[in-house]
Amino acid sequence: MAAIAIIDDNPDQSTTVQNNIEIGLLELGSELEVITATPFREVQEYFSFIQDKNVVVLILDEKLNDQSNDDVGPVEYKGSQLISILRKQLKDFPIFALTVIHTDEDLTSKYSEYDDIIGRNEFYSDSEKYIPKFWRAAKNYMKENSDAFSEYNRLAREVSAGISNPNSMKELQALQAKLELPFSGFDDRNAWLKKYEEQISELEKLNQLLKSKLEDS
Amino acid sequence: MSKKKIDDIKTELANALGAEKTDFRSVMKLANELSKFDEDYQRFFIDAKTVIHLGRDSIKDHTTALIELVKNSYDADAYKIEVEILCGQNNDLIRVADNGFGMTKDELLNNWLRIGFSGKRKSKVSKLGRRKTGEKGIGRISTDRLGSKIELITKSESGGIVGLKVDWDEFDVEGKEVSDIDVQITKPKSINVPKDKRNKVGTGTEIRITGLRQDWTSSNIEGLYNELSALTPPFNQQSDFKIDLKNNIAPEFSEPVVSKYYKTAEIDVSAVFDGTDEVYYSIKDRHSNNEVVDTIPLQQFYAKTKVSEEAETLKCGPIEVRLMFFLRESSSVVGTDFRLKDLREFLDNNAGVKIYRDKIAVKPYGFPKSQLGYDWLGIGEQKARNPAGAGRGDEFAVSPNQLVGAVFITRDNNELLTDSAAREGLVESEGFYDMKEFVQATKRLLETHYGKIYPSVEKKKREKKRVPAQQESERIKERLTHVKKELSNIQSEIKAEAESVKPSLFLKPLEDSIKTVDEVSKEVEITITDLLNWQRTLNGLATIGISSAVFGHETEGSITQFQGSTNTAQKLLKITPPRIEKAITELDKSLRYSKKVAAWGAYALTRVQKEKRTKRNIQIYKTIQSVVKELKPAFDASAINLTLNGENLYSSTYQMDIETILVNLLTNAYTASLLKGGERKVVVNVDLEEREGVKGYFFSVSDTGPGIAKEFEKRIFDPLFSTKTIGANESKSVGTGLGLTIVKSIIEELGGNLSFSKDVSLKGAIFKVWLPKK
Repeated sequence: MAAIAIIDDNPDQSTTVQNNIEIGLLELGSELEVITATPFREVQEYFSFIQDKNVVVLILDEKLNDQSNDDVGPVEYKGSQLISILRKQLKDFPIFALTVIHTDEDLTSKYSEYDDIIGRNEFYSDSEKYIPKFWRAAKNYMKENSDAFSEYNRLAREVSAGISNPNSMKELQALQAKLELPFSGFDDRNAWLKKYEEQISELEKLNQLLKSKLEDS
Repeated sequence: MSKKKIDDIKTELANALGAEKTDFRSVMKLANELSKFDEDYQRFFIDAKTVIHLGRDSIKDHTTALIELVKNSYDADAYKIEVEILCGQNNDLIRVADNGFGMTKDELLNNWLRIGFSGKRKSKVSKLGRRKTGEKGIGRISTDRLGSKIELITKSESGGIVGLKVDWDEFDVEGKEVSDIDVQITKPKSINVPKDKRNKVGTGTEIRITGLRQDWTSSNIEGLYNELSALTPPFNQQSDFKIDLKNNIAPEFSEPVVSKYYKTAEIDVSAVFDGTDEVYYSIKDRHSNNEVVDTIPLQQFYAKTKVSEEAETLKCGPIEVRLMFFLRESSSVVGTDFRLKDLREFLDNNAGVKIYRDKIAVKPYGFPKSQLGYDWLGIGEQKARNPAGAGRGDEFAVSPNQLVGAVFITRDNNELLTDSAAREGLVESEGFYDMKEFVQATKRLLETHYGKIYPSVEKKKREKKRVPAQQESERIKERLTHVKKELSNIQSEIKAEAESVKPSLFLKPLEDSIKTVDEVSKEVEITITDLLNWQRTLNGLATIGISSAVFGHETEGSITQFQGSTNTAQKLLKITPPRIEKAITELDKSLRYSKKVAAWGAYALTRVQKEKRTKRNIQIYKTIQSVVKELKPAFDASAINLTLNGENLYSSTYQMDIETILVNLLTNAYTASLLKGGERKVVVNVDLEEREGVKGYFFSVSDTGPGIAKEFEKRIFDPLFSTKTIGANESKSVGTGLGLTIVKSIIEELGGNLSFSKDVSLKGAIFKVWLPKK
């Protein structure tokens, strides 16, 4: 089941937001799941978390580096630092900021990278405005994602069947970038084939050479 | 050789002793000479000049020297003292005559002539119950300060009249011993001392000083008058002790000395009970020109003062009570000719409520040091039971040493107030208790009035203080310029008339200049004290601001969480089916966060409490512990482990200063710790530490932050310089740059030291504050 994930170092805060969103989604008739997580020590863990938990919306607190949830201590980044790293791969992924001081300069300077920056206080007092927003973002993402996957599969089949044209290749590469698929691209496959073919041709040459030697002898 | 010499002296001594008329002088001289040959023991002998030096060094000026003689008369239980100062050609004279108990010949020779003897050491209270005022037994040698020749005549009840003459100039000769100088014993036939019917024998002492050392100026006479009035009780009606001053320098002061200290009384209350059922009363205070006067029934008077509910009349008969309430502080003498020292002396001599019957004081009531009588109204006990200050309005109670008062009664009108069998005090009859209650009611009237006017008095004081600094500075500058000009004029005149210069001509302007400088110094001192107190408060307020900016996120977060959880709990209960478990969890959170908000409010409110701005003995560790406890929730919320180590120690200091320093250092440590992830720690240590022989203590704050960068080390104390940023690699400053400037200025003012370095254990910065222990 797809999920909205809340990332916050303070479980008191994240569970209150979770309860609110769950009630809101219930009223909207949504079957989305709402999950919480404390900040991950390594940024790469967010990608696998999104994939494993089928996350379709991320809600980030700004001060992720306040509280410690293990023996090591708090993480070293804030929400406004994390977003820039996530956006390198998750170009169109819905990510919201939900924090107490939503006017913080560091946060507002990253406004374009978020889908929205929401004050926690405003969220509690006006949740009927924000929860449908999360839901719409989730639905759009899921829809776009499933259309993109269908198109991707079609083009990939054409390529493997050897019936693709140069335009199909470009389209496929764009979808690959959008979906940020965790496997190697066609460029890599071509290179492999080329290298494979080169090796085959080397073997061919060797074969020819051996044959001529035998014939000479 | 010496054997022959000894024999010669012995022979000479034997001849002197054997002569028909003993030459005591020769006998003493020979005996002294002989004693010098003592092989086993020798004795100190005193240069005559030492006596002169002792007198001159111990006494500030000629006014003080004369006051010492008057104090001796006061201590001798004189009812009246005549002080005469005559200056003029061949007519110089200072005369002090009293009708005290005088001296016998024995006392004169063994006590008066014994330098350093003081009867005060034996007993601090005179026979009449006066607190003795004379000093160290040097009053008599201070007469040298007044004039070269002294003639003393004294008459005691049992010893008749005896006298002596001293020529101080004979002492002022090099090489003479004290015992070489003759003090002539005289046998006068009469003595001229003030008459008093209580002194039937006419005892007393008269001192005449001639060959005056110094001219007396009008200003000297005025100063003398004011000092003498400190010894005089403030009630004109009685005849306990009077001083009559005569002089030919300032005729306006040739009159009986009247105490004018009543002018410095905060409140002056009179209440008269007419003997039947009415009370007339008047209340005056020095802060308003109004005098409240009224005549009301006794019952109403008692109801007004809440002393008694049922009193139709008083068995004591008609009485009059006058009570004056004084503050023993400098504001009381502002605008008067009195000095605070004089006012305090006046209060030391006169505090207490005395009973005067037919103008004569009845012992022991209101007499200092009289164990039972001094506070016969139980004023001290009432104050101890209710130590409220005047700010508490109605509940205010005066202290015994702030009250000077008198109860006037007569034998004819107050028949029930009879003497006790012990001849000291009155019989504690119903009449006595009624009188006591009436006095207590009058005291309550005074206290209630003061409690009522106190807020406006304080307001006026505060308004008065609010003179713009620039204006105040100009005024002081103007006054000092005037003094400078005066002194410069004196200097020019002295230079111009070096030959014929008369020091007396310059005394008045000099004294005036000194007085002005003294006044200005006091004003400056008060201004500086006020400014420091103001600065202390501003430092505290600035620190609240700094810490609020830093810990604000935490507070705001707590408020939001409190509102969010409450709001969410409501929603969880409204949906179907209600999520009870989750709602309870949210309400629990709500409660926890509301406590955090309240704790922060308490922290901010208690920062600048008034008592924290007063210097007192405080428990340093406990003060630090309390600040650490208040800030710990904010540190915990950011995963910073804040710990405190040390043991308690005391020091006399301003609690607010210690707190301000600590809050600033903790705020910095908090910010620094957030700059790094991982384990965050802030450690506060407190301990005693002696530096260069000075006992002191320190407290340090260490953190796990990045430490002070080398390039900032020299700038961190500069005002408005700040290294506080949001993140480790960001340039945006969130600090005000005031924290460490405030810390440094406070530490410098307290005479301490502030140092910083890298903390070896936590790897961040350590700031160490050392302060002297007082």
